[in-house]
Amino acid sequence: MKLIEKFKEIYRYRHMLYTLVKQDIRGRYKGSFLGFLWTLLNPLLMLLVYSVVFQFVFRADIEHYPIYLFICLMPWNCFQNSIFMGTACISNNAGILKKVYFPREILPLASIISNIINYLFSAVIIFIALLISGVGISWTALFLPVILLIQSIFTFGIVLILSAVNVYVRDVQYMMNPIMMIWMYATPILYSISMVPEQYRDLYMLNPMTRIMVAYQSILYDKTLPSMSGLGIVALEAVIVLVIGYLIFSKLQRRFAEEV
Amino acid sequence: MAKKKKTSDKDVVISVKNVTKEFTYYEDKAYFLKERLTNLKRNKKQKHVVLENVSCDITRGETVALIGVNGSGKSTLLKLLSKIIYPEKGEIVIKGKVSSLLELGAGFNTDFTGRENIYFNASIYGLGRKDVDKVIDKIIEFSELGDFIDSPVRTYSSGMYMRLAFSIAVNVEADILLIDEILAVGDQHFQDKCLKKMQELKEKKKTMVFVSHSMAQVKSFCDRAIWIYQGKMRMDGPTEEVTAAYLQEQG
Repeated sequence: MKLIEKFKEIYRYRHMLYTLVKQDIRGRYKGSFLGFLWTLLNPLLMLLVYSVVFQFVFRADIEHYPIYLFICLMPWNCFQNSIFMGTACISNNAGILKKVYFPREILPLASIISNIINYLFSAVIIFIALLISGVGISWTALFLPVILLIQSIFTFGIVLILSAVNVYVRDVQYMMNPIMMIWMYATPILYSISMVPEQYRDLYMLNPMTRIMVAYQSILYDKTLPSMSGLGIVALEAVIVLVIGYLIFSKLQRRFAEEV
Repeated sequence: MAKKKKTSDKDVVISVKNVTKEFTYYEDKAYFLKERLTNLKRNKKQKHVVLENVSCDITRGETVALIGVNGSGKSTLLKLLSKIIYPEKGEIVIKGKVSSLLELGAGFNTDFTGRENIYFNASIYGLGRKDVDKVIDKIIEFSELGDFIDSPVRTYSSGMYMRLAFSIAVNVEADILLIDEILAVGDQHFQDKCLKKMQELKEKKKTMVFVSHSMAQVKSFCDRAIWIYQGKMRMDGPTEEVTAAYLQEQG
């Protein structure tokens, strides 16, 4: 089968994938004095600002609001950065695309993996914050890798589509800024799904990120099991998006070297 | 096209069947949506056939030269063989690991040092850090870059760039080597060294396809030559015959 061949090929190029991810993580804060520490400092400072703002300036209805916000904002940042980086990854690498063969899927895959690794570092801060604030950690947190995996499959599918189309129509890269902003507000991150009027809930659920965010909230904030049917549905959606993305990417990648 | 010797299908490592490649030229290429829409009518496309109905089989251990005047489609054929571009029609089947040296350079990241680029470039050919550690001294020595290996590649001259690219490409243990006319960049000393290295690889039964304008190099090194003229195969056979016919026409 063709798909199995593709997996084997990507496995053969794992060293390249590894080098790309390493280059990205190292290069991100290259030249800065604190270097890699920024990966941890960034979310930490963000959490501090939220805590001050929502404790003293703006009172939210949700208890432990900074933590609540943080639990979803970090994976959302991972999603958003993967999309921004991923969309441009093919057009930014014209140099190697024109010179050497490698499975083109490696580039979008690398941008997603490096953002996941970054998220995992910030997840350490989330857990520390959960302990300190008194929200606590329950065994349901063990579902985190499952949710993250579903999110990553979904992200990969979208990035495959966007990165390939961006080679032909560069507008995609710039369109993603406003789109991601709207998408963020259309997802229960800053607020809870229960605040959404009943009649719009079905509409909300069409957005796969809604179920993903609700799942993060239930395992970390509510400390309850995530809705299994919800996870099942979003996993299915993610796989469908990935398959569509793969088909589009395979079709468009044939002319990458000529078009970039 | 007469094949040099009868070989069983097993030995064919590069098989090119009725390959046609067209390039589309835009008079003013639209990268953005607005340009696409406003230029809808003006967006003139021109099709240019670069290769037409090309077929050839190359067997293991063969050294093949592609010859022809500029713009005849040699480099395009090499790019097709390395799977960087795809043919519009026809089929190309390659068996084995390919290492290619196209135009100048091999896709180096110019902000990184030569050493870092060796690791990155070799990883594209499937070599891990440990595999590279084993051959890196050989690569650096062959490139004759000395202390420059730890300087960013953007500071390199074109000769140094080519030396590094060549040194990596011949040391990654590929089965098939595709080399565009990059040898011309090096000085006589390095060219001789490259040819010697290629001779070594030839003895190791590696397959090589090689574009060159130097008939002396072609004659001394290749068993077989393919003459491409205006996108079509004009002649395919033993080097002596093909180069003689080619030189005669060039006058």
